[in-house]
Amino acid sequence: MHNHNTSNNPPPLPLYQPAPGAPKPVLPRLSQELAWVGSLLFLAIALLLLLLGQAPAWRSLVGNIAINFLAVMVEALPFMLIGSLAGGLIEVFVPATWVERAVRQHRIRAVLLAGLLGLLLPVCECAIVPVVRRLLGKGVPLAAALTFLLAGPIVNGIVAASTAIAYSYDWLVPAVRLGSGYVIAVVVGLLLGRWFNRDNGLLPQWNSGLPTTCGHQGCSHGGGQEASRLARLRHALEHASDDFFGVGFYLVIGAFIAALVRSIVPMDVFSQLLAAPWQAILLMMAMAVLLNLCSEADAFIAASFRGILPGSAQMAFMVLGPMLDLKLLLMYLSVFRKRLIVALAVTVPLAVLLVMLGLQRFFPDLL
Amino acid sequence: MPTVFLKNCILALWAGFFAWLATFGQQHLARLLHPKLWWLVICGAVVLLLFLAVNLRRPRALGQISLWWRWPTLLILVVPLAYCMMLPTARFNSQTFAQRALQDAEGAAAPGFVAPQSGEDEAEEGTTETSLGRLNAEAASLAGQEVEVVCQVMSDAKLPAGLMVCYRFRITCCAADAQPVFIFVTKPQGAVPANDAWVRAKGRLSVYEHRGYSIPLVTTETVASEKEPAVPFLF
Repeated sequence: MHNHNTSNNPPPLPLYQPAPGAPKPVLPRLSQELAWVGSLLFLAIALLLLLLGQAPAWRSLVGNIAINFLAVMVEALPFMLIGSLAGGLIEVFVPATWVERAVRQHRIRAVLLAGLLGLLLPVCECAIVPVVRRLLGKGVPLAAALTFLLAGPIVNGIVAASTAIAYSYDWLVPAVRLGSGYVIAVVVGLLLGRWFNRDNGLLPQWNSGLPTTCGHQGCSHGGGQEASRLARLRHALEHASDDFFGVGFYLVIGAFIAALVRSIVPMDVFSQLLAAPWQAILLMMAMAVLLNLCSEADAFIAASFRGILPGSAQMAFMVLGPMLDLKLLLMYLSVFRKRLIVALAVTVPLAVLLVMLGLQRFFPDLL
Repeated sequence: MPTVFLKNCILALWAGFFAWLATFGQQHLARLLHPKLWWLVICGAVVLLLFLAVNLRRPRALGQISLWWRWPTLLILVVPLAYCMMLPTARFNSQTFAQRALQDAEGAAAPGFVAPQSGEDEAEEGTTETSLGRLNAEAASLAGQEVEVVCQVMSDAKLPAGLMVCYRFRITCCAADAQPVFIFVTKPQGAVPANDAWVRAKGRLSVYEHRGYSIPLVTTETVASEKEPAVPFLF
């Protein structure tokens, strides 16, 4: 918990280091070793592929992978940096008491509001994880944070506009997309909020019950001193930079896997296996998870399936992708415990499947 | 201390890469990102430089995970930069086209989503070129007119005899979401351009019915080889 300086003296300048005796932010030994081996494995595969790309037989494929990989990185990394910056500013400039007042009210009301937060803070899925990490560090309840995490990349104006453009300004499509995204996020947020709490859902460093939230005890992040504004800004940048190093490598791994899938798996694999709408929905959900597309671009891919797949399948692609894809699953590892990630990986697709089957059953010609 | 040094190097490398893309490397950036999003790269460079500035002046933090455990994850952050060495030669090609085109049960490529999202994919000013997006969207109204297109070509045994695919890719945000847009052109007399070669094809437009799809067809009068455009994508 942050100590609030109540004396008349100016607050001490933040040094951003744990207080003596504070627990070191180390992972359990086995997890640390597994992560280390996994990282080495990834490095080996990436290097091997790069070397293979020098051979004529592999040049075209590896060239395609390189374009997709770099394209995703060049687009997603700045968004992630902006998200980290927003998270750092939240950490330093938003007092915990504000957050408490805003969200520690009625639990369901907090979740309902969190689902709409994307309308005020339009962030895509690459930027949302650093922001959610900091909000959790500020004491935002887990259910509300999960709801914002799932709804934020869908329920925002930019996504609504791009979806409308992709579907020739048929505003019913963005309305259904945003509506179903909101409902699913709220339901999953409330459901998982019942089963999980900060202790069993969050990694220790993001549980505000521990002093490592910020990494420095004795700093109030406040004080209101004009002279310390620059120091606080610097402090926010330090937090943001740490988020970049904490989340960035997950983004790289996710982008690499997405580039592999995008370069190897033919699109018609998905369209040739369709015998029934539920199959189409499942296949488009699988594609959403594998392709890792930005929520502002995925509508154009979904729209390319018009006339080939039912509207419910296109909608499943647009709703699931921003909530759960490979890159996001990896980024979730930087804030949630594995059991919560597994719960998300089960409940979110299940909720999307049920909602889309409902759409298909009751409104087959809606889209 | 080595961890801090490594982190600063990574920040500097990424900031330098973004700065290079935004200035001297624009021909490479054009093959990765929609021009409307190039501001992102500048923004990324600025944020990374800010991070670097604060990290250079930052007191050494205590209790950090040792370099032994950190170096693989730090090295992962520079993997994309290593893949930059592929950029000068890497191109989307007919393999990408075949892999991304939606196909029906008989293996015929479906035109998919081809309506232009804006006027941005119009051909460059001062040329008589018509964009592939416009040809697809307005094929019926343009039928019978002389048109000129710049595209890559692909010959394939599955195509109707005497026809080639003339294709480009349309992006919304970045190359990862690129979707093929194509028309048919008749093969020229004499030497047929190699697959993936850029050509400028001139001829009369008609609409070709192919396995239930209406696909624009240019009956070519001339097919000349062409330099790859500075921005190869349609928008």
